[in-house]
Amino acid sequence: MCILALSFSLRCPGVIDREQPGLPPEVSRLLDARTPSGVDAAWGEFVAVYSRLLVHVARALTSDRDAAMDAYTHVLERLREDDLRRLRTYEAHRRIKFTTWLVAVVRRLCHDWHRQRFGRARAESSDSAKVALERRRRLATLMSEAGLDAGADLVDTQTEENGGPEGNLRAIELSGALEEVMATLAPADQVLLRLRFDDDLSAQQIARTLRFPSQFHVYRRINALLATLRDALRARGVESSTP
Amino acid sequence: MGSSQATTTGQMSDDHLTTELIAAYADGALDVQERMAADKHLARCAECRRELASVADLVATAPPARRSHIWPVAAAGLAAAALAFVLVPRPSVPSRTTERAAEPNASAIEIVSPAANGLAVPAVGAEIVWRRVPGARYSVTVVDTTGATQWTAETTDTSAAVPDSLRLAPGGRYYLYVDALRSDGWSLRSDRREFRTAR
Repeated sequence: MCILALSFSLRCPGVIDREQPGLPPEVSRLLDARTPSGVDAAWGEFVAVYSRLLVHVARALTSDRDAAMDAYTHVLERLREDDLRRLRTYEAHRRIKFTTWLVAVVRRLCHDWHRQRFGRARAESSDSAKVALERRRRLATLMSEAGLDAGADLVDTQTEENGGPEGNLRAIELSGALEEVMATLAPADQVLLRLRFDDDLSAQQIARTLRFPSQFHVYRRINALLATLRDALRARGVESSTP
Repeated sequence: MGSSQATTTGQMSDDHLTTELIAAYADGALDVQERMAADKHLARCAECRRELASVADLVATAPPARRSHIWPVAAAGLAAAALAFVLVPRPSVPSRTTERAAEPNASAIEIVSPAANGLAVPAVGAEIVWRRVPGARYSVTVVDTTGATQWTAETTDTSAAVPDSLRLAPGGRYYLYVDALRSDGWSLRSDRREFRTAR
């Protein structure tokens, strides 16, 4: 009897596993493909598996559907060019989940596409007066949430007309004192406070970003840090905005 | 989008965290020393914080990869006569999708037609029908095997006909899904339904 050594594959569509770090099989097949037809077939599989993810990122970073599809096309071209150079770089970073890595790469590719198409956005910091007011607003929020009167005072002096030069000067002094106290915190705690008060992220967004178990853990940590800041600022004689 | 970052390949940058560090941070894959160094940078770099938050958000809201498991089976020992049939792999686009931003316990939208039995539908004027979600508006999308959108429409009805102007390829394979935006702000997404057009 003729015995053949054969192998074939059985596919069970629809099974979505909890991804582990490492090279997914379809990406491995793509990177291992040697013939043009093999690369084409493996590329088709890669696109089928990851298109929704790529479109998801493209749509999140663009203004409309047409722009998203342009960005999506740009991403596919960049991923495939130079013998899949970008995808091959993942092999050196297998501790990261592939989809997380892919999202980060695709996000930057979408930014590249946006810059190519529209140019660089003007720096937001070009308006110094606006930046100063924004800094004072953030400072006021943080001070108020820390339970310091200085916060409320700063809210009252958020405009040049109301605050005047003295208000601005006091805000700069408070900001300096706050920065000094912030610098004594652990870097992770500084990031937490920056995300909350400088970047205006919600507790849920911060929980995602810093991998807190829930937004309530974020609130608890922020409250603890604000208490620390309040004590440190009071120790420095900062209680209100009055010089 | 005015970022000064241009390192799409993730090469080390003197000014900002690399793509890989951002991804590893979002994944919780940094060791203690790396995390400390990254935090020191993030504490003073609003741009990298913005990127990290964006990546974390995109990952958290991303649809799952449409992966099929492949189980290699060694068939050594089987006689050629026993292999009178060939197993043709199905496309690597599974039928299962997840709800998007749906509240817990919300049920997904059920597509009634085209049926899941694989019967071919007309290449022109195919009718799409789904079960009603109270108080919802719907968005119907047809994509091809590369994920490219072929047609999309919004309606408050529970059916939609593919317009005659859209001529799907005879014998082609397509997928459709229905999104429902409920009046309370929650949205649901149907399973992705595969269908073929008649030749």
